[in-house]
Amino acid sequence: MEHEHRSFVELMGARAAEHGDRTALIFSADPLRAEADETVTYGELDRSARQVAALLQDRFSIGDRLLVLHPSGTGFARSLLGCMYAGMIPVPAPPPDGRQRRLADRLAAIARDAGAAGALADGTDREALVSWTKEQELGGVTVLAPHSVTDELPPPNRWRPPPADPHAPAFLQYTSGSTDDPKGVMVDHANLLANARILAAIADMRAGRPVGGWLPLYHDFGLIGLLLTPLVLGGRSVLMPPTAFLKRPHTWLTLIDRHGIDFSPAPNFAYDLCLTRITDEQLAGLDLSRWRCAVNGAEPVQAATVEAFTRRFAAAGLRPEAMLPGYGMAETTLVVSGDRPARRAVITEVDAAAFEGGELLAPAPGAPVHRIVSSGPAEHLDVRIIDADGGKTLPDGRVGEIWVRGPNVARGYWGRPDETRRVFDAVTPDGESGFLRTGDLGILHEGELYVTGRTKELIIVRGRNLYPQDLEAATREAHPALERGVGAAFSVPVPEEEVVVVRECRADRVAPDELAHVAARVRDRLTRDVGVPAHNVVLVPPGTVARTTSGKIQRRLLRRRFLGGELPILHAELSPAVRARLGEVAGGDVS
Amino acid sequence: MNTPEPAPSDTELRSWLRARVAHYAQLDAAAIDTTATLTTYGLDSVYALILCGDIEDHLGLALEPTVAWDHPTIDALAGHLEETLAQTSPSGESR
Repeated sequence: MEHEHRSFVELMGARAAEHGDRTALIFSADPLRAEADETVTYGELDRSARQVAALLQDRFSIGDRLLVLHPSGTGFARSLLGCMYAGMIPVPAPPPDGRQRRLADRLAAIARDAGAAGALADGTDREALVSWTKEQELGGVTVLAPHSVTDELPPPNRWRPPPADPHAPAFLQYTSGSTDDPKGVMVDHANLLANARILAAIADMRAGRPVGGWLPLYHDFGLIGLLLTPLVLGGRSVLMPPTAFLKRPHTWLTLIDRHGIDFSPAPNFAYDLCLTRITDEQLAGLDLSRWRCAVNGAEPVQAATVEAFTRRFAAAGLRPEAMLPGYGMAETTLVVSGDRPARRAVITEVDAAAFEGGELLAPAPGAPVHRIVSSGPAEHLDVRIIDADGGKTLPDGRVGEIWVRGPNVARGYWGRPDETRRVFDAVTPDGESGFLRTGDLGILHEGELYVTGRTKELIIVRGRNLYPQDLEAATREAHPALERGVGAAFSVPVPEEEVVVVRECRADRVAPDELAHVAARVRDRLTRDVGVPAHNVVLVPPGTVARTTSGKIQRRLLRRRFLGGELPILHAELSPAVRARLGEVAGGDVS
Repeated sequence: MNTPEPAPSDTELRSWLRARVAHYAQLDAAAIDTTATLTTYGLDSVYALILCGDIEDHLGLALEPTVAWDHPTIDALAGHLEETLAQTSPSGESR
């Protein structure tokens, strides 16, 4: 594997020259129907990218940001690479679906933050996007559909290669920041190539070993893990629509089987979904013996999921060591660490009480045990564990914030120099500079990195980062009885993270038997506006949600009081798992 | 809120849908109001797709992935599905 190229564009050009007829990409619109597969070679992809780039160079300037809004498919890849070939900066994002206001607003906030000059999309979505630019008063955003008949592409030889600068941004990744305040991670060409090298070293990826899956391409897990890394390595990327997986999880495993996929990543929830939704009949028809790397990342990895998935799918030939827990984020392009493919996932039993106090100890005989899953050896990036105030570097076995340094740590947040310095260029208490503060909590133990929580009040559901203020804001207009009060949103691991929303409610404004209706309205709002399954809604009297003197909501305090059974509750709608957890603590019935 | 009893007019399809929604919402089927929007029970777009897959497999139909957004209550969904089924009747024409 060679990486002497200065940019991804240069590398792709060389690959097309070297092995233009090798398959680069297969898009399987319906994995159950092989005849629906669409195949693109390196030569074709390179030619398309040149054509798209030539079109873009006619209309935009080098360094312009362009939204890439295609659904998963070859059009996405052609447009994304076209932007990069043009020397412009692609900004992959989920398109508005015309139903959820959240998506339309979030995309507009991204377009503004990035100062987007254009948007590339499928021809069928063009009209909806033009209306979106009008509604959101984004007159400066030109909508193009480069692969439809209306925008005829110029010949590839019209393309003018941009200067190959390893430190030019390759793309912006918007997975951080709240809906109103999105943050674009700037990944440069050197980051992208370094990340591919690290991922390949961790998982022993090679050109002849296909990569594939259903993850959306607007998210770093899909963009880097499924599409760009195999292209850097000269291998094959096999893609399917995310919706096909959600409708029928076995289609993902069929894709893996049919294409001999070696490396297929997904968040923990996807493995759970396979466990609950794939029937024994479906399982009987699958051969998963070639699936070497079932990477589990982007949300907390559950020991129970790793074990149950490994056990059940062994019947289809899945290797006991196939599941690879991993850890990473957009700020490190994708990866920080990952389990070694040649061994079983490492699950360590620790003393539950000591662990809650931030220390890793072997469980005392008979004492409650907590199980944590290793995200693999911390061997490719420099990893430090720093205590909460940044005051000292912690020894092994102590929980603190994870700080990392390496060639795939991104350049920073687009247009935010102060935050970039603070987050991406931190100095450890021992005077080591150039560290990224991840905001995640973790522990180093026998050379392995365990991710245990977050310093930020971020909530992660199915790999999506949710900001509590977005959830709290969504409850405000749900019902007149909620008008003035405040709310607090947090998550509770039971063991999967579940969202809990505590909301002040003026009980004098509603009859007691109406409280369930108020809670239902809150749930409805959260589901529609934020798109989160909020099974737990707790109504409390005004004045219960604690705030600091500066008005900051004290979510951690509320969470502790909720779990300790100390909140005065007017009405609570709770999931069975949360109810069980509260019952354990309080020793009583809380509903 | 109202505590709907399984109405005698409940078709088989309606009770099947109610059981699926109750399963995903982690509630008793009796607590599910067939006139309330699915989002009331915290069923988001992911569940809407999962439910869509369930329905397709149960009825042998091909549906738009947005079917549970376009017909957001159990009653509306059941009505739409019955209509679709009637159009895909034994006479053969599938719209």
